[in-house]
Amino acid sequence: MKSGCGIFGVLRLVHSKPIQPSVALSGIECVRYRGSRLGAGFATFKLGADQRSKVKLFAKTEEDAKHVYNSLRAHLPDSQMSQPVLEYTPTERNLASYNMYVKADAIKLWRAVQEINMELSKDGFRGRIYSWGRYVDVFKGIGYPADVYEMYGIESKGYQGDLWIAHTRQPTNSPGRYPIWSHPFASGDWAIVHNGDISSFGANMELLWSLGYASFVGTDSEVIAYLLDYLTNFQHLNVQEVAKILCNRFTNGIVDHETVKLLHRWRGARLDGPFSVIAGYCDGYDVYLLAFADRFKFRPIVVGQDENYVFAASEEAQIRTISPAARVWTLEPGEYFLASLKRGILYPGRALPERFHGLTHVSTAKPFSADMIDASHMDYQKLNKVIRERLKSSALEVNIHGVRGQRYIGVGIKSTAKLRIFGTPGNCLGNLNAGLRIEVFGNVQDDVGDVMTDGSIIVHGDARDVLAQAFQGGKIYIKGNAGNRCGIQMREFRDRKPILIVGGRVDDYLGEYMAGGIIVVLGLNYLGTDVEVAGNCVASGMVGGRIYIRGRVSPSKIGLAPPRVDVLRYLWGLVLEGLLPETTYGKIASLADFSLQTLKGILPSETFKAVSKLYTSKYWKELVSEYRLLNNEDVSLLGSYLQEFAEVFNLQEEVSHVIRHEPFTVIYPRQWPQTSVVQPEEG
Amino acid sequence: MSVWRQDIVLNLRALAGVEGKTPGEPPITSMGATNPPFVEKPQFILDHIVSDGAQVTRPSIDPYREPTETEILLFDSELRLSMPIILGGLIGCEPSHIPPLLLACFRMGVGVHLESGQPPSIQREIRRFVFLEDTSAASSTDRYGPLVIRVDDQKFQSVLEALHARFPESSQLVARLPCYSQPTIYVKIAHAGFKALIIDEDLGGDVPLELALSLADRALKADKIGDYPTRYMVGLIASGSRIRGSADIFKLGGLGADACIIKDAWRIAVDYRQDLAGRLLSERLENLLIGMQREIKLLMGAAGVSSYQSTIVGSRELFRALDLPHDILYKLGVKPAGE
Repeated sequence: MKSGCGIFGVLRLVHSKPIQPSVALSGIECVRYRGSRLGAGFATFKLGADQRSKVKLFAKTEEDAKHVYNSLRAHLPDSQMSQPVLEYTPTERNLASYNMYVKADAIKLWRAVQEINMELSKDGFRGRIYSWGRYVDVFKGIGYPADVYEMYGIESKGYQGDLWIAHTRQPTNSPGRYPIWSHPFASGDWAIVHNGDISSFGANMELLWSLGYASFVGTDSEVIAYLLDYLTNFQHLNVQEVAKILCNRFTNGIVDHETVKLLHRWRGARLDGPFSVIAGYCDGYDVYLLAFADRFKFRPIVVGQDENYVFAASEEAQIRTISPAARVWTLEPGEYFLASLKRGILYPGRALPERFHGLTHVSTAKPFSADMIDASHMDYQKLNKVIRERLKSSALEVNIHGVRGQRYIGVGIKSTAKLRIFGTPGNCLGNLNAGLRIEVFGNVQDDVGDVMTDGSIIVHGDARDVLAQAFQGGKIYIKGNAGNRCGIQMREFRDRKPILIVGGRVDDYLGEYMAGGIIVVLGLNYLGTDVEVAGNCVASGMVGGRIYIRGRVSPSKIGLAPPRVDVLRYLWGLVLEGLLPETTYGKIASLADFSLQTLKGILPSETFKAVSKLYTSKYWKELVSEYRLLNNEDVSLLGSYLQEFAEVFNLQEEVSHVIRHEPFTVIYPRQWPQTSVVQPEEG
Repeated sequence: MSVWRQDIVLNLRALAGVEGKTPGEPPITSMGATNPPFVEKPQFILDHIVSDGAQVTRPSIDPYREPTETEILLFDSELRLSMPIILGGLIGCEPSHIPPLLLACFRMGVGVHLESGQPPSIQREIRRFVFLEDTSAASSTDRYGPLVIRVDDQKFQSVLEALHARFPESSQLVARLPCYSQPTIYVKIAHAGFKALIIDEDLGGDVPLELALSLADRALKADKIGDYPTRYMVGLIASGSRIRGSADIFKLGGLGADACIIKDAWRIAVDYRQDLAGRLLSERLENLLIGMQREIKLLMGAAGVSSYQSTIVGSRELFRALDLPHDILYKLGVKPAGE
């Protein structure tokens, strides 16, 4: 998974103390490697009685700042205003930041800001107003987060807040030489930080132009701030409605006509392409932390909670830096997470609140042996070096504690030794692993076990997205839940057959493009419920291997199905032509869910053939899905692995119950009769 | 030079299953092409427009394995087309062909534009997809689907007055008009209660379809009904005999068309003849539509787009122009390549 840009957010709950800025700094500096020198920033929100807006601007010269002051005066003649105050002295030839206080009507102020910003970039760029909220204060500039923090003297000036968001930037769409392109982007009392590259940028800009927005710095991130502000404060939609519009879930599953209308009416505000966003907002009564992910979940985002705070971040390690004991989970694709100062979590970012199964956090226990490696002050290069040195002296076991976000652990280490990790290892754990036996006491992040060919990875907590991608040999056992795109492109070769077992549930695209090996999803934390333990598009593009999912999986979630409405309309067309009895149609329409396989069992062959073309193409391969108890063949294939899984996690009772009594959805591609053994191509 | 270059005809026929052995399957494509403007001679503004591609930070989408939405909602979400296509140019078709054509379009969830007015009989569910030209007073009582009314700048006022008397507020009224360079006419029509506009190049006008469409899209965006931009309440449909297939539809989408009416393209694709068996005709048409929908999905996927109506329609930023003069670029709102 690409690691461009790091984002972070932390909100206090009403009973806890205001949040010190150092909390935001450690939360974002923890993923310094996700950013660059080209931009960082912070925003803080504070509920208070001050009715004045804090107008903040970047200006080339002091004269330009004075000019903005005079322009604002001219636009808002009845307003009380303070003189611009310099916030920091810029490095040579760059922009300085100023602030001033203005007491004015919010909409009039917004109009004035638009016009002044347009004018400031008319004949050569002179500056820009970048924030004008009542409850928000933005600090952004060029540098790493720590540089910007220092530059503004955030700590020394004693800023503290109800909510902080922070960003470190890896520029893609605009250069990073001016701080106007740094995050957060603010509009009114919204501020956002963003990781992504939205393909709907043009469409969103068209809507904003039509609404009267006229001045832009030109990044896809700023439009998100404008859309949030416009829809909540000008259109008076509530935050959850607005989040739904921007997240833009796939409409296939949305049946409620009012939601369809809302999404259509505000289609210019729907976001497409990859994004994860953390936003802060204050409506004068409460302070909100909003986090959301795109419909494919192409960018990382996790959220968390402890008794005092609510968090959102690119990586779990960021949250652990502040709260080792927090509960951390991830969003479903296309979902939003919303929490407020006064009311706590309002929507958990998933259709159902997360059920944990594995360890929810790692105790900060002291090392249990004297030679345990303390990783708490090591970067990943140092850590891997230390591990390698230990293994050179023929150690068979290396124990590490204090792990927090170090990436690439175990990469490039040729050994069959055992690596015990206490903490939260960073992305790309055990990539290309060819023999290490890695055991993690805690959760793991994105991209674990990528292209692993041998050895094992055992995780006592959860795993996040893109687990076991192109996994081709060895074992990966996860006690808890796993995220999006698990086991994609798994493959087997001769006697090398990878096995992935997840004890909890998984999200979308399980086993996409899978070509070999075995995936088992046990969903032990949902036993006794009718919750489906896998998301959408299971096994889409699967050409080999087998997937076992405990419990039922809706047929339409297996592979990629056309929209239900299109299939039903097609069938009704056959009824109108007299080719299909109305009763048969009625039978299908009354099914809560169906697949091509279901239709095959109901439709006469001619009509089945006709409707098949909505499902199949020349790149389509038939998937067989069976809902049944495990049979002898399955048990001989899986039994020893499941037993090992049960022993490792001490889940013997549950696992043996599941093997004997719980039905599974078994998915595999229909194989054509094999005529000869295909020889691998060389080169 | 004919609009219908040999490669275009061949591709359309292959989609419909008239040529080749894989109906409904877009041919394999790659970067680089023999397309206009560099290899083949450009004929239209569309030939100068290219689609942006997904890059490193914005992954492409594989529409064969992941969802890409081509649906189009019109009339305040009352009508859902499964793809941005409406079949037109049915005048001159053998009368016995109309029912199988309507059925095929209904099954595939695309619209049909009937210029010749009310067909002898039509089921109500199919009627919802039929853009029926208002050629008789009888249709004024028909409230089951879109009604199309011819409008031009001279007749505009009288049509408007007559409308208020004839149609209830809830009617799905559609105006069909020539390609005007004067943007205010589009705004006036929208304010007159039309819920969709068909800009039809075959009716003439003083600018090419691309410009008329883009001007209409931008004019309706600049206008408001209440505090809401008019464009998002009014459907825009582009029509012209020279719309050649998915690529043209996709580019016209970028210039503001929610959907396009295809005329000659489908007739060429299915190799239309008066003596064609109805069953074969509808089968070929279904193949063509499935193939075109796949082509549109592939174009969307290549641009990293998963939702047609919200992300492509009017989204000029996803397109670039090659070798077009400045004044045209300005009217289109499309940037030159490289910018």
